[in-house]
Order: sequence, then C-alpha cells, then structure tokens
Amino acid sequence: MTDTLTVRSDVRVRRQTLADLLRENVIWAVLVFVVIILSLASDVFLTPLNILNILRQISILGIVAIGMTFAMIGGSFDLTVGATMGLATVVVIQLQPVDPQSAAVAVVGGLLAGLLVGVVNGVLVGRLETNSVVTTIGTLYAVWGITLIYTKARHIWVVGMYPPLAALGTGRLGPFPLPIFAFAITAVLGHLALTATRFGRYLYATGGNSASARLSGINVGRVRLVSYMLSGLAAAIAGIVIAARVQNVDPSFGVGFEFDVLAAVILGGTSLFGGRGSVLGTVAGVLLLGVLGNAMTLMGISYQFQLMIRGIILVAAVAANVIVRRRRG
Amino acid sequence: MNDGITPVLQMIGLSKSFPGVQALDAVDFDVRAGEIHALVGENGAGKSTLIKILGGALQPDQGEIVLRGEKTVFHNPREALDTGIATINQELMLIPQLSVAENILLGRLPQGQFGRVDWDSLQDHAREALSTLGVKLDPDTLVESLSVAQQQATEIARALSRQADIIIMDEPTSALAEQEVDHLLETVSKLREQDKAVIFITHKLDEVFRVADRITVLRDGQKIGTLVASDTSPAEVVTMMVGRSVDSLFAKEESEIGEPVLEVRNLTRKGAFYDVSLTLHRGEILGLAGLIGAGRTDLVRALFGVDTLDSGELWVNGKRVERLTPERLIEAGVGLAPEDRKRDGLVLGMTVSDNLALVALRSLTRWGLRNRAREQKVATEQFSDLSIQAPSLATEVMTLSGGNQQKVVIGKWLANQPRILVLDEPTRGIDIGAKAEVHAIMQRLAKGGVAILLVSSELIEIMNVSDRILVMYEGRVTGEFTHGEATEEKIMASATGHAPVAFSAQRDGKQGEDD
Repeated sequence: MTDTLTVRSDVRVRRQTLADLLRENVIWAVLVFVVIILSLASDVFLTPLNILNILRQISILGIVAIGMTFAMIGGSFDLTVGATMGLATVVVIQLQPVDPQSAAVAVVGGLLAGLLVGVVNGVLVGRLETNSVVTTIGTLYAVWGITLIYTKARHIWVVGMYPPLAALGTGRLGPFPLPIFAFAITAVLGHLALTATRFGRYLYATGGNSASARLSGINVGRVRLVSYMLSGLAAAIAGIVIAARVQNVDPSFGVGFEFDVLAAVILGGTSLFGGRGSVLGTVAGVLLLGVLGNAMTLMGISYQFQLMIRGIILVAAVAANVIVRRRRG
Repeated sequence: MNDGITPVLQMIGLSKSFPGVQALDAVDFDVRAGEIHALVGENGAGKSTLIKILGGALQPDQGEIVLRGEKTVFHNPREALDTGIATINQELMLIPQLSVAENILLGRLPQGQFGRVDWDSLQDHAREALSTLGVKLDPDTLVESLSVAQQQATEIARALSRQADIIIMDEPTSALAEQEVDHLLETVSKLREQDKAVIFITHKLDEVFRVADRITVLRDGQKIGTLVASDTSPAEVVTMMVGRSVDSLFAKEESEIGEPVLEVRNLTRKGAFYDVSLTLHRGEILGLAGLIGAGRTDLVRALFGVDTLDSGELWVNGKRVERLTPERLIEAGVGLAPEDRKRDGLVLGMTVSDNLALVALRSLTRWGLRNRAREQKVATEQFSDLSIQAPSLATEVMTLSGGNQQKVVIGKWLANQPRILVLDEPTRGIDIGAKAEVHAIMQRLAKGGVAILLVSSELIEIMNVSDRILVMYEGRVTGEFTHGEATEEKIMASATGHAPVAFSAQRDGKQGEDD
C-alpha cells in the first residue's frame, strides 16, 4: 500500500498515497457507511435520478465550501461566504444579462463583488490581524446591508436570460447537470492549488504556525489575504451558478448558508485552528451533508426538525474536530 | 523510617515501550529522603519516560513502584500528587496574572464565609511555604513580574505547601541565566535540609556536581549506573552518558576570516537595545554573550526584520537593506534560527521534509508551482548531512526530540544556502551529543565561508566556538573579546555591567560624538 523508495541507505522517502489520504479522511469511510445504510433503508435513495439530484443540490454548497477550506487552512474563519454568494447572485440578476455583452458584464460584476469582499476581509484579518470570526460576521452584515440597498430590498428577476449563461445553471451534459461540473472543476483546481503550488505550502505553514511561517520569509498577511480572495471568488462562482439556475432572487438569499458550509468544511477534517485540511476531505463533508439532507427529505422529516438536526451535525463536527486534535497531542 | 538509607521511593525493573522504541528497559531507580538524586542522560535516554511514570502520566509495561515500603500504582497524575509526589516541569504551570500566594495555593484557596476567599489565611500559608524555602518573595507580587528563577521558587513553594515529600525537577535551569541558577541551586539544597527527596534532571553537569548526592545515568532506555557524586568526575559521567569519550567535543577549529558581510550600525529599539553596532565577517563565528534579558534576542529579531527598529542601519555585503522584513533578509542571504524553535522555528504539524523545504521553496518553485522531486532532493540532503534522527522525511516534526527539531530548524536554513546565519540559543535544551553535532555543523559552515552570529547564554559554549565575542548588558554592547582574550571572568564582568573602566570610557566617548 505504502510504497517507499530508497534515495540513500539511511533516508526513506515516503510518497503520499491515496491510502494515506483516506486514512487522514475518516469522513470518507463514514460517508460510505451512511450511503450503504440508506440504500438498504430506502428503495428510492440509490436510484440514478436521486443521486444526480443530490449531486446537483450539493454543487453550490461544495463550491463555497472549497473556498472556505482555503481560509480555514490558513487559520482564519470566513463567515461572510453566504452573504457574498447572495451579493454575487443579486449583482448578476440586477445587471439583467440578456445578451452576450450584458451577460459578460454580469458575470464579471459578480466575480468582482466576491473578490472585493475577500479583499476587505483579507486586509482586515490578514494585514490588521483582527479576529477573523468577529470580522467576517461584521462583513456579513455589511454585505447583506449592501445587497438590500442595491435591490431596494425587493425580490428581483431577469426575463429572457442570455441562454448560454442560463445553461450554466439549467443545462446538462449527458445526464449530468452542469453545476456538477462547476463543482468538480472547482474541486480539482482547489486541490491542485493546495498541493501543487508554493502558495499551498505557504498556506499550510501560515495556518500551522504563523510565527514560524513569518520567520521563514512568508508574508503571512498576504497569504491570508489571498486565501480570503479565493474564498470570496468561490462564493461568487456559486452565486453566478445560482443566478443562472433560478433567474430570480430574494435579496436576503444566502445569509445563514455559511453555517452549512462551515459544517461541511469541519466535517471534512479541516482544523478549526488552521494548518490542516484538504479539498478531498471537504468534498466528502459536502457529500455527507447532501446525502443526509436528501435522506431526511425522503423520510418526510419536517423543516423544523431538519434545522435542529443540521445544528446538531455542526456541533458534532466541531466536537469530533477537537477530539481528533487532542488525540494528536 | 527516615534513616537516610531506606529509600522513600523505589522503582524496580521498570519497562516501557512505545511503537518502535524501547523507552525504558528494566530500569531500577530509588531516591532517599534528604537526598538530591540527579538523573542524567541524553535526550531519548528515557529520563522523561521515567519521570512521567513516576508522576502518574504514563503506566509502565512492567515493573513496580514501591512508595514508603508499599507497592503503589498510579493511574493518573492526580494520584501521584495526592501521595506526595510533585513534578516541576520545564514549562512552568503558573498563572502569570495571579499573585504568588494565589499560585501557591491554586485550586486550594482557603475559603471564608459565603465562599469568599480568606485572604489572610492565604497570605499566611504562602508566607509559610516561602519561608520554609528561605525565599524572600512578597506573596502579593504578580507572578508575571517575577524572574524565571523566582517563578520556579514559587512553583517549588507550591509543591511544599501540598506536603509533597518527593519533588521531581525536570530541567529547572534550562531557562535561567547563570546568576539565577545559583539561586535555584541554593533553593534545591534547602529542600535537602527539609528532608525532602529530590530527583533533579538536567543537561548541565556542573550543576549536577554542585548539588547532587547521587547520580544515575540512563542511556537508550537502560540504566548505565548510579554513582555517588563525591566519588566520580564529570568526565566519567559524560563517558557513561554518551558511551564514548568526548575529548573532541569542544575543539575550536580555525577558519579563514574574510571581508565584512553583515554590518549593523547604531541599531536602537527603545526598551530593548540601544546604539548597537557590530560587524560580522565571512567565515567568522561571532558570539553574542550576556545575561537573559540583555537584549540579544531582541537585537537579532529586529535585525531579521521581525520586530521594528527605532533607528539604525543594516548593511549586507556592502548594500544597505532598507525596511527590514524577514523576506528581504532571506533574499539578501541571511537566515535566523530563533530562540524558541517550537514557537518560531518550526511548523510542528508539518512533516520533516515540508519544514526543511519551507524557506528554499521560493527557489524550488517555478511560476509558483512545486517541483516535488527537487524538494525531496533538498530535504534528503539536509536530512542525511545533519543526520537527523527520524523514521522518515514524512514524519511530523512534533514527534522529534529537541535536538533533532533543532537540526531541522538549522537544516531549513542551510537548504537555502545562506551566507549569514544567526543562531539564537541553538543548543538550549538539547543533549550533549546533539550539542556537539550542532557545534560541528557551525564549524563546518564557517569553514565553508558562512558568517555566523551566535547568541548563547552558556559561557563555555560561546567561548569555545566563537572567533570573537561581543557582550551585551542592558541593551548595550559592553565588551568585545577575541577568542584568545576571552575568559569567563571578563565576559561576566561585562555582562553584569562591571566592564573595565577603560572600555566604558571609550564607549562613552564614542556615544558623546554620535549625539
């Protein structure tokens, strides 16, 4: 399983294998277990239609969660993501993308809105070193307020959306809805950014020990700023996909979503204290949440109870995170 | 019972293994009332495991603990504490924002009516514990305003007030300046007069010979022997510890000293150091001596761009470096292995190879993309050059011993091929063998033309390794000696502000000109 290659007689270099990755992501085992149980319990659960349905539903959560994973590995929380996604959705629809030009403007506008929120959070937390939880909650309210002002607090929609843009939300490639591809591409890019780039190493070092990272010549503030920009960007991409899919939006859309995202990221094994985490883990956390949500709906559990269960899952994920950390010593 | 010969505590045939390591192998150990028993050995020899078992934090695989003639099993630290065994760790367990008295009686604050704290009784108890120790400390002082030695005294007083009669001290002097060590050793001697049994763990043999009655040497989990201190010599103990003769430990090798590479002019950071100038040459090891708090660590942190400066200039290879940041200094070829390697030197949760490659990453990546083969190559080179002892490059550094962690810190700088290396207390808390290796690495680097600025609080080390020694006192340079001139007396005189008159006058004159 673990292949070792000998470089010199006294040095063993272990390659990270898939087995290692899985070992670090117990969550995948939990996911498989839950899927097996649900398949046995329900006839509907393991049907292609239902699986595709789950995948489409989790795509948005997944894209945002991958962004948040970057902020968390760097040692900072980003609780603004739900509001950022809402802002991006609103920007796209408000700009009325009905032809190629307006569609381009709307998409760029949505992305810029997300990046801008990331820059604000990144400058505050990364450069000024403010507390990330309080800062991003503050930004959440500010962004929400801006969104309401921008829409005059009214429900907005677009009629006759430019078809290629609309396809991003509603189209299919074979049997697969396109949002699934948006999620998959984000996941692959996110994974590569974390594992194959210098920035990825700097991010882990910054989250693992910012003092050591700084003394190693890493511009810790800039690394955190970039992680927030990526988080904002991911939230904006999710917002654009939503806009393309539903083509109308409530001005408070997205607020509250950050807690689902947080639950997915923490379930995926990303440390609350930074320095640990992976896209692979986050993807599993997202899938698990999606599967559980779907199961609850199939079982006809009411919204109130689902809300309660989601809260319990979030707290359980935090507890598991702390226990794992304690066991590592 | 207390005839001074019957041990209060005996450990018989203790064995403990961890995955892949036999930490203790059938070790016998005992300590008597009124005795100071030193436990020595290199890191990884099994000292920590032994005292953890004694303190109830670990359970032995085999063997037994006999306490006051009765076989005893400790399931947790609480039980050990309740039977009168107190452990004083390297990292002190005090709450800085509370007073000395509150810390001494922490968790057992005397209560008056309605659950209020009975402050008078608190004062009395604390005063009693402090006077038993012969320590003059105001119980109302906040712990944060105490020196490290005074904090340790507070912790010992806490152990006494808990009626502990077996006191384990793990590396108590590692964070102390030389004068403070004297105070602590006096305190420890007082414990013997109180008929306490003391187990004293340290790396510093001179301390062992100043206070210990008996010495037990561990190596690789085995007991090598127990000696009566008055019948043995440091040389014999060292040989037992390392299993080889250590004549070659401190042999200063000459290296060729070249042109100036680092020039520091009139650096000032208010409250830390004032008007410090120094020049470091190619191939030179420049020692920076002084007491803890003299401003040496502040100085090297500031010149590496970690802390800000109020004034002064820094020149590297004849070029002035402005707006100092670690990034700029690294680009200029400077590296800093900081004083606290766990806090500032390593990312403990990352692997050995990731830590080793961290600084060099900027040159190992292209367009921001990693080249893992090159990273592995660089990490592997340092791993074998420095003979880092770890199961593999993929091991997390938090599991390594202090000496090996220090080698990783040095290795991550060497991987970037620095021209100037600043080492702040590179051998603190590491064992003799690893220390000798670090000294050898420094000599090798100097021979290869690297300029080294060494901060060390150990006089012997700084005198043996340095080509030139600067001494700091209260944030100012108060003395400069060549390798040949330096004596302990001269350095200590400068380090305590009693520098020769001629030198002070010269410096004062210079300052007058500058102002």
